[in-house]
Amino acid sequence: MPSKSLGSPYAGILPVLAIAVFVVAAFSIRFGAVAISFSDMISALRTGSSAPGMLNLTERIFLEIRLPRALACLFVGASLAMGGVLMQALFRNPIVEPGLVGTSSGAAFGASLYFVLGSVLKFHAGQWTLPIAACLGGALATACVFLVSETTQANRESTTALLLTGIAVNALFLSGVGFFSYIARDPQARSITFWNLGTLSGANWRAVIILGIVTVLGLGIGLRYARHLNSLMMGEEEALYLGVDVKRLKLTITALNVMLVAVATSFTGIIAFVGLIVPHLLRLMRGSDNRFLLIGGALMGALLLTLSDLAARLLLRPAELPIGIVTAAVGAPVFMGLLRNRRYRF
Amino acid sequence: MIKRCVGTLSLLLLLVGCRFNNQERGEHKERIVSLSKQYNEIIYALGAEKDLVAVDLSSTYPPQIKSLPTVGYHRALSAEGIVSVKPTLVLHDNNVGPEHVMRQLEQLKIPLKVFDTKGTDIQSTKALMTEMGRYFHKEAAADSLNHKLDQDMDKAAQRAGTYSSKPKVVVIHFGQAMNIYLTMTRASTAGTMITWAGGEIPIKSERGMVQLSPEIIASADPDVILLTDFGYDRLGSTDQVRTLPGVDSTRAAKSGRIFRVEEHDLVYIGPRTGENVLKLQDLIHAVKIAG
Amino acid sequence: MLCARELSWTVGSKTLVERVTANFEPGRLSLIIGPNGAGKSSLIRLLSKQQKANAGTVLYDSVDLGAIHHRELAKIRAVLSQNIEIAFPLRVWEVVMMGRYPHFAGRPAAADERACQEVMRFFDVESMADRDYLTLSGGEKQRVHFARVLAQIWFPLPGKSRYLFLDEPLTFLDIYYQFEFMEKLQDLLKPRDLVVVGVVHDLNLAARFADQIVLLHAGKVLAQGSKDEVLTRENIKAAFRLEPKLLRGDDNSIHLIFG
Repeated sequence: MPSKSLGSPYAGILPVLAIAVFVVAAFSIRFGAVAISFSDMISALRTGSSAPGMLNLTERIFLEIRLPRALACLFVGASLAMGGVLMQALFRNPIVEPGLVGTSSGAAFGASLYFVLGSVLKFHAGQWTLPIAACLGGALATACVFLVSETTQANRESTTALLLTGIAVNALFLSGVGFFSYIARDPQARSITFWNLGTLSGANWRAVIILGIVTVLGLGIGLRYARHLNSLMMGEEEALYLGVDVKRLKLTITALNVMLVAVATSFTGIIAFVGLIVPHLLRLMRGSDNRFLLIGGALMGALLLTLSDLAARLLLRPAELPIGIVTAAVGAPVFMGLLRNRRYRF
Repeated sequence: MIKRCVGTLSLLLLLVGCRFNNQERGEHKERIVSLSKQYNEIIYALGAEKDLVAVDLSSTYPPQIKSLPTVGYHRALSAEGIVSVKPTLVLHDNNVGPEHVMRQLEQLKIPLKVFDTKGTDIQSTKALMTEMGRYFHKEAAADSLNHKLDQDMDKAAQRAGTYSSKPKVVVIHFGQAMNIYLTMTRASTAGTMITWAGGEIPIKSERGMVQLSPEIIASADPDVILLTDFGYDRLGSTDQVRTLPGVDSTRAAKSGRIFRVEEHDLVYIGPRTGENVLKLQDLIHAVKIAG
Repeated sequence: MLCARELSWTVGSKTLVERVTANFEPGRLSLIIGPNGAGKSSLIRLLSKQQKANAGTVLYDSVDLGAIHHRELAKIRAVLSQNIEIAFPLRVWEVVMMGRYPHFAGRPAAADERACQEVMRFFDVESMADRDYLTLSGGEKQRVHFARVLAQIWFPLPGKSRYLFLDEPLTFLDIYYQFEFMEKLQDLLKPRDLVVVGVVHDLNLAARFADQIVLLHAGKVLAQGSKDEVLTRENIKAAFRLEPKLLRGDDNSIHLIFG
């Protein structure tokens, strides 16, 4: 038995996930409010590359809206799931979400600030203002968490200090969001609410490129540290004995999480539960090796979000459900099942 | 977080009724999608609705508009959704979101139009109706709507002079999810209408709506409480309304003057505003109801 | 050889370890004993570089511990901690393979897999290699950790010593496995290139198996040396506040009886 290398019991499921992602992505570009057939898609690609001025409406919808949205779904789903894997590994706790270190609430804060005070602050970067505001907010909140937790006296298990600080900073930034909702005029308040529920409808090619780079980078760097995260499963002390620079690891992994989650959130609003349930599902299926969880997580996150987006777009067409509602509707029962599962100890 | 999602979902579903997956009927030369409830009421009043193919979720007047398919809540639209109804024109009043959807529609070269006049008071709404009348070639209808509005408002002004008291009226609007009750302030459209009706909203604020607190209600001690349809229907009856914190001690509760009103009658100025002001007058100046 | 010179560690106003000087030779089992709060675990932390001392030096084969990079250190030094909580389901062989992490970057090499196999066989956990770690009993989990920790330093290094620290390794083991573990340790010590420093509570076990005993009291070395030198009635009374009866066996063994 031990002649198996670390990859092999996990190997079987990854190709299956990859194929599933491909199939669901195909569905995602094929189905939507507007009817687009595969021949439409092919002609769109052909005309788009040779004579872009000659595209008809359906082809333009495919190239400018449907296709970037499908790709954004894949990348955002992958990023959020990987963020979840990283944070759960860092905190050695399966009910941890990437938002725990303040990233999501910070992003929400940045977005609310933009919605309510954007015109007052006279900061304009066109369509990039909202994503930049959200990203800065997320990074700021996480920086707060780290700075405050580093100054505490915690000797052993300083991850607990990080967790507690994260809870405090989250509360702070969320109350900021609440405050902005309160002082907002009615339409602004509604914008805040709907941003908090998430939507993929804003996807364009520039966003897709950024998301793509971030996702691939996140996966690459994450895989490099996967083994260290494995050692961390036994505790910080054990990881230290195995030669891991624990302090540096925590910083790197948290920075990675911020990059993945803040960038994704800044384009789509807050989408909950993906980072929570994907790692859990994978552990139930195979196990907890972080290399597997990162790759499988990226695939399954992409799969889950694409399916959710399909549901969001098709259930009430031509209207759309905010995607956060779909992922919560799926995630909440899974979350409850997770809590009742006694295999985990928290 | 979960509660907020579920709450918003219930809100959406309740608002929706069965307006999703509505099929279209008949042939259309022009295909107009209109995302403003004010515009929509005027379009129907002008008799220009034949080319309307889809509207936003919050357009609920007149009742026949509910049989049209809807492209969603006006602050949560999607470009593909709008395009899928094949519009030749999208009307909106700059109160739509998210922002990127309008940009995407522009990129797809879907014609968008905002009418020049903003109908925020009687004069400007009449001008808006004139502009829309011209646009839809229903000038005569527009004129008669304006005339009726003037007539009704004059009548209301006359009657307002005859009232001996100025009742305090609080308008409770069931706002966003999770039992957050909002009340309309003097600065809101409802507030203006109540003033025209010879009453007053005792709650002052720069914003159109503020969050309800028991102190606000109790200290305001209104003579009349009006609830918009959504909130009233959710609570069920006047007795249920009395159970809201702070309401029980008010004069309105004691004299049983708690009434249901339609939200779309109070949130924008339109062709029926004069009519609605008259109705408000009847409501708020009515003789005390026993018990 | 492992040398500690004037090691001191103070946290706040509390002195945990005070001017401890001791040598630990490879091929010999050295056990640290002492009452609660004597500084045994603290000393292990200082010797294994989990903690930096305020004063004094630790030398691994004449090299200052501070100069050894933590990644290199992980290849020659392994520590078995007291309490390891794993919150996620893992296979036993995955836990053991983690011991080899300091030795490979991407995928484990054939040598790493061989080390895992041999060490699991050595500690009798090979049959549970595929089982979920969380489903094991306390004793079984302990043995898995033995395997992991030994896997880390399984192969001898030419010209260098390997270092093994054990912080109360016998807690969850029944008496059979306690004896078995100690005997296995003696097996491992045979090649004479392994330094083993452990902390135990059971004085009789120390008397039975230790080549060298260090008796700590209030952070200071009260006595160190062979069992005859250290396990005297006076020393035990001074450290543990209880006077034992000392029985000598025919084979020169010492047995302590309390009460």
